[in-house]
Amino acid sequence: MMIHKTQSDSDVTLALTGRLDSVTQSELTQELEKVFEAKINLLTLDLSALEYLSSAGLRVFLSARKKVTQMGGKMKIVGANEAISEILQITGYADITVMAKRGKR
Amino acid sequence: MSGKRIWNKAILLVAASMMIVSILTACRGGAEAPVTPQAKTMDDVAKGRVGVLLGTVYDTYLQKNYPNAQVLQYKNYPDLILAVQSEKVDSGFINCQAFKELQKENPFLVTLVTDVFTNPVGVGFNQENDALREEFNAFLAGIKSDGVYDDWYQRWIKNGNYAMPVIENPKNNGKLVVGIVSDKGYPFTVLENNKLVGSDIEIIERFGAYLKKEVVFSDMEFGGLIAAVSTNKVEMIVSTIMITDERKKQVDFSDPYFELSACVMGAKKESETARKEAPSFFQGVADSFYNNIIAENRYLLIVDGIKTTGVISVFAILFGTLLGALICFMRMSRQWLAQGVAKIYISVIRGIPVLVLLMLIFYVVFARVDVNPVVAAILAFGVNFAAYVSEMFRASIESIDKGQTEAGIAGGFTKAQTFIYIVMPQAIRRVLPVYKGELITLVKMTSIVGYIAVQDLTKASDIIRSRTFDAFFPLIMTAVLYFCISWLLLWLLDMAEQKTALKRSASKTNG
Amino acid sequence: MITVEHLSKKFGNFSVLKDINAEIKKGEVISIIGPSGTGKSTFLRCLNLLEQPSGGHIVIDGEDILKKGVNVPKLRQKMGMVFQSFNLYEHLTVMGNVTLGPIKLRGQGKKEAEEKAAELLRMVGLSEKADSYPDELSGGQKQRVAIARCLAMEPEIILFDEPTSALDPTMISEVLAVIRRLAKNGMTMAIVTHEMDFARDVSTRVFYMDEGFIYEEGSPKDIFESPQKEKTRAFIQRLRILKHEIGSQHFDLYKLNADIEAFCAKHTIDKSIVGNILLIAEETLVNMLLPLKKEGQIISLALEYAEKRGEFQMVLGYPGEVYNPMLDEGGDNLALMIVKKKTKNIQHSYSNGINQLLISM
Ligand SMILES: Nc1ncnc2c1ncn2[C@@H]1O[C@H](COP(=O)(O)OP(=O)(O)OP(=O)(O)O)[C@@H](O)[C@H]1O
Ligand SMILES: [Mg+2]
Repeated sequence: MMIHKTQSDSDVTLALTGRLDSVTQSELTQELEKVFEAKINLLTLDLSALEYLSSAGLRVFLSARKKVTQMGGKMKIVGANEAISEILQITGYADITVMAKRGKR
Repeated sequence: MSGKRIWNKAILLVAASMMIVSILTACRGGAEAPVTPQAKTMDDVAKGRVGVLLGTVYDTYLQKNYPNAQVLQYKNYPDLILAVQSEKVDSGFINCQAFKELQKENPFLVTLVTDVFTNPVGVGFNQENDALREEFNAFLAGIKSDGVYDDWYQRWIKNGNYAMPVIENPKNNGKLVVGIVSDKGYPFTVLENNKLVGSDIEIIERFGAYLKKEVVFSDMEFGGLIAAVSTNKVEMIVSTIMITDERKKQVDFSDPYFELSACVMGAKKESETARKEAPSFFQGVADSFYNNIIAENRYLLIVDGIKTTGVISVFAILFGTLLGALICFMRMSRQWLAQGVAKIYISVIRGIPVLVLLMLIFYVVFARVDVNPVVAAILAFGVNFAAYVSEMFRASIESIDKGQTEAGIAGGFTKAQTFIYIVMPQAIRRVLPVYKGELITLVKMTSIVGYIAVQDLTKASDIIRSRTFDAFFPLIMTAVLYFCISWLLLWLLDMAEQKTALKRSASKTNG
Repeated sequence: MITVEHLSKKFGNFSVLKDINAEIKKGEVISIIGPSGTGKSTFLRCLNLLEQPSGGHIVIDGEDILKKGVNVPKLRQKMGMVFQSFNLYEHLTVMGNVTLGPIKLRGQGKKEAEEKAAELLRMVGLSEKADSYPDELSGGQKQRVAIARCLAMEPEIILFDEPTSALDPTMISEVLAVIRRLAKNGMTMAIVTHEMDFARDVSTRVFYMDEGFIYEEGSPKDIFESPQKEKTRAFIQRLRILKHEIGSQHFDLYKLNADIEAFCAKHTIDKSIVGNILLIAEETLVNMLLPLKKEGQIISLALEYAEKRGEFQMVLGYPGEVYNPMLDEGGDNLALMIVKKKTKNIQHSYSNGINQLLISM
């Protein structure tokens, strides 16, 4: 998996590429830990290039959201493809986070 | 008649002894009065690096008396002189007699110290061969009393007249095998016009005539002499061997036939400038070529050396390959005993340096057997080769995928047929590149056979070097010849490969 | 022609063939089908003694070949064998491969053997490749050469061990066509295969092997349309199988993924389905079964694809107490939800200390 980070002030966007599964989730966890060293206003996870997502990845999303909320910020997930949206929906996750569809680059 | 002869002898003896005394005093005198401005004392010499010949007593002498001297050992005179000339050492420890000769050919050599000490020289015998030693002592006493010895001394040691006298020998009493070192140097032993001459040679020939035995020379490295005589490979060893306590433990010496004095030599500092104007390159090469190859028919020596190296290489390769195949077969067998033997063989042989293996086979395994050293060399190199190639064979056989073997068996071939028609051709093809490398290694490795008195190409070039003192040409020539031998063998292998139609896939897999 | 009685074969203590009884008559084409690891290859290899049977009799033309003193290599010349992995002689050309046996074993002259070989190569459609080397051929071409190589020995029977399993789908038919032709010409053959349509078309009889026996045998119609026994039926309906065993705690998810992807690619399965399979495998293994797995226990995963119905089934076998993770409310909710959403039906069963989870998609 590849993580591409862009930041402007306290708005951070992480664009994920490849597979987010039980093997690669630790990479994202580590990246997020770094991100949370500073106060975050808006955390955007761009999934438009993510091909695969399993519950291990979902768990990382959930804890990230908790953290952001605690900081008084917001998290949003954008660009998920059909299969991945389906998983996000299965877990009810889609309801609690602001979703924004985004076209592919 | 006989009275007159005795009279003559007496006169000669007196004359000879007077001469010896005068020579000795002359030498002594030389040491006291500075011969050259560079003359030094032993204390000066001992401060620097001192070159000595391997297996001589100088090393021990220096260690005992001048423990601070840094001693470097060289295999033969040409190497030692080269070291002195190129200032790898500050001085060279050498016997005065040889030095005198060397100085003629190498004018840049100068005496630093003369007659440091003297040491008796004797002929060595097996410790169980008192009879022969006693005969030699009797012979020595005889020639000392009849003037032959004095004549010998005059000619070789004093005057440096190298003509070998004609020695009558009916040769009807069998053979006398004598270990010598053919490149010992003037005046002791040299190969001149491909014939051995020198003071030692004359002594042996005379002793042979005395016994009415034909003398058979066995040429070896100085370091191998004592081993050779104590394992009865030769009956006696004659190479201006200094009698020392240490050597006495292993061989019995005859009465001394001569006292050798030790000198220290150095190189003239201005030797470079003092040299003649260098001839043109081509002239130089032509001169070298003439000196090293044409003069005294030295090419014969080289041709013989090539033959010997070739014979040893080819037969060691053949023998080693067959033995290697056998070891490989045993190693791959399911029988634990055969497998164990092969495993031990491989690890033991691979753990022994070839030189040691060679000496072990010649001096220990065949200690009590009269074996041609060439055969011993073939065995040693073959045994070594086998240990390496057997593992190569195994690896290549195992690399052939089992499916093909199975297809062969299922197709009605017996195990042996499957191996011969299907596995082996592919295994050979795969092993060839590494096998060729090993083969070249073997050819080069044979250059150590000089240790067991085989005159191979390296030894031939050493002998030539000991006569011409040309370091460059013989070495380059030897290198080129070794390359040619390896190349020729590879070429032969290639031909065989093409004949057996194994070639295509080899070229294919490369492409 | 061949009669097999009470044939058994053990590897150490592991009994692969228990009691095989069969008869192959001249001109018959026998297809041997059955789940992986049930001893089909072993049976075939016992017939030509590539494996030494542990017991029983194999009688060929009235002679018991397990007796001492039988000339086994001679016997094998009459029984060709075609392998899954072709096993061509790499150092010989196609022509060399086909003529080696006749020249060395049957004493044919080079010319005679080559003429015969040319004819056989024409038959398998490889006349132009006579001078090529095996590494210059495609898999299908290699297998056809292997068949020609067998035929050159004029065998009385040919044993095929999954002749098309190592081939790309595009090459399977060319090999099967050759075997079909042989069948038409009356060649006696025994074929281990997973190509069910082919087995049904070409064979005169089908052996279904399971549990070390010939579990059921009959005409292709009987076996494929109305199999009598439960196991046979189950096998006939789900035929594409991928097996994977997980032994260590730190299992390699990506190795499993790669295996599944390769399996699916082979059967040209839609990408979205592959994604679902991967997801279910990960969720069940990583989040449900692996955390409970004890040292030394083995979890098996089998992916079964019933081509006919386009249905997938994943069978997970795991030792231990009775445990159905799908009922485990205290377990991982996210994983459970994902699995439930992505599957049609999940059945749990338990026997002999092994849990089995049958996941239909
Ligand atoms: N040489 C051997 N040593 C030990 N076990 C073996 C050996 N050969 C096969 N087996 C075992 O015997 C069993 C039967 O193997 P076999 O290859 O006959 O199965 P198969 O029915 O041909 O399976 P597949 O369809 O996968 O080819 C397997 O469990 C295998 O692990
Ligand atoms: Mg099989």
